[in-house]
Amino acid sequence: MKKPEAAFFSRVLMMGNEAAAEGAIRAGCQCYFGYPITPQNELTAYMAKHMPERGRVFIQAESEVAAISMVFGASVAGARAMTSSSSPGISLKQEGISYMAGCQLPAVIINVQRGGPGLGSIDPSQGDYFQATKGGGHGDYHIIVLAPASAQEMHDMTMQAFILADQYRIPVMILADGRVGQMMEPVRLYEDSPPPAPPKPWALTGAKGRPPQYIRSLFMEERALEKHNYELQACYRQITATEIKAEETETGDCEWLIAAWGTCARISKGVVQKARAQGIKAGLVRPITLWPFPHERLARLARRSQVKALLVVEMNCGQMLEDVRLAVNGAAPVRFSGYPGGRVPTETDVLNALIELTKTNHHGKVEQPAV
Amino acid sequence: MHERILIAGSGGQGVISIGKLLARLAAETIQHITFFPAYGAEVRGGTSNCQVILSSNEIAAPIAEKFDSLLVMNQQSTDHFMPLLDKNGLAVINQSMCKAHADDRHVLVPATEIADRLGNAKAANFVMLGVWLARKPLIPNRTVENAMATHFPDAPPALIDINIRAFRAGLDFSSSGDRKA
Repeated sequence: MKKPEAAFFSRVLMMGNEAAAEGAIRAGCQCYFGYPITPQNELTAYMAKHMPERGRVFIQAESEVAAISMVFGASVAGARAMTSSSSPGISLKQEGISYMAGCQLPAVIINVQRGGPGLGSIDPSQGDYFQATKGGGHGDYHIIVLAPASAQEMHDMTMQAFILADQYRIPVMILADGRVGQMMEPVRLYEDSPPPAPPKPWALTGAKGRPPQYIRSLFMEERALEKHNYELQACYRQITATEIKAEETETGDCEWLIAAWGTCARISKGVVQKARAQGIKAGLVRPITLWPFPHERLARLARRSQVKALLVVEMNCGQMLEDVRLAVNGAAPVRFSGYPGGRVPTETDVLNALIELTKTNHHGKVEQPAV
Repeated sequence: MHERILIAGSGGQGVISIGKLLARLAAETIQHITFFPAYGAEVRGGTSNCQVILSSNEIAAPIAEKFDSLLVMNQQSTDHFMPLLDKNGLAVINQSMCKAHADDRHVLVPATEIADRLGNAKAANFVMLGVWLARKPLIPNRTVENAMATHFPDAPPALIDINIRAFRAGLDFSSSGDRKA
């Protein structure tokens, strides 16, 4: 991922939701369309206040479907546009996301996850991993998915999302959760001018001085859709080759490897220190891009001879777990510690799960999906 | 330094206000801070709480399991959160509204009564903050007083004045002798 050249000056205490909103503004977001839902309301409220101040567009739409359709319209005209919501609202947006993927349109979508399925709860959750990384809407597509774990990352990744969206003409999702969204932390704000957008000759701008053109996701001609889908796949391959990002903590000599993302990765970082203080050689791998997923990195780590087993920690019943298993492919046992009820696990919860794992006798390829 | 603080009370007692103020002011001198307001189902029952963690090192887990400091303002919060006080922790308890058993770690302060005498019982939160800060001087008292007007720009001057006096009363309460339970 290319990082915008930045000079960081101001350090302010901000909620994750606000930090993301300010990141979008500083990334040059021209249009925001949203509809309220807890726990992301501060993001919409921040945009309602600050977008008009800067002469940019803020619309509280009549529904989530309307909001994503407005993002589609703004993007097709070449503007940097975004929307945000929380899990049930993101489900409603899936039609629009699929259409934008089909039309190769850049957009930024922030999901501050809450419990599910259905209305679930308003507590933090990581239950939308499948939806975000495996398609969400209909059709053969992917979107880029970034998983922040702090207010600073809410800011930085939202900026990054606009750059990636423009670069690859693809919707990019920030997959946060209620904890990251609601928590306040000091944030260093990006102080430079917005990263420039690439030329958008495909944008529909009124056909003045050029022949008319159109953007569509409907391909009725013989083999046209096949060709189009191969084009999309070529783009996804390029993203997979260049944009995968993961963070490792204490993996050098680790015997017990935790894999976790977002809030759970942050908690697991503390667990690694606590475990090491007890003589357990623990390490952490944290996927930062959930799609594309760091399959090869996981595989390489799992194949190391000293690695005895992996522990996947998520606030769900085992979603990234499936990608970890695919990556590890039997090279080491993979266990799971899940928290699907809106409760954020404590360090003790995860440490106990890890200690339990170290006591298990691993004959070859044991694995256990128990929550 | 790694200080885990929980502030709890009824909705309207200003626990989020002083938590946020504390976090904002700490940000001027302390490197790592997390502030987390309870926003979930527990809040809808009428209680309110927030966690503030101040640390010189990176804060991994942004949720504490035990607390070095508890500021509890009503009985429900006292019952609920006192078991989470660290064995070396300090609890500032609003004696006007809570009963708590005797413990070396407890400081009982009639915060609501003190604030009421100053003219507004709602300033009890600042009495609590003063008592706590006198015992855990993590940020300068002067910084707190100076920030009152800027942090609460919509508050009328009279209210800010009462808040400052309540805060000072809290500081004085701590320094005027040992009133541990």
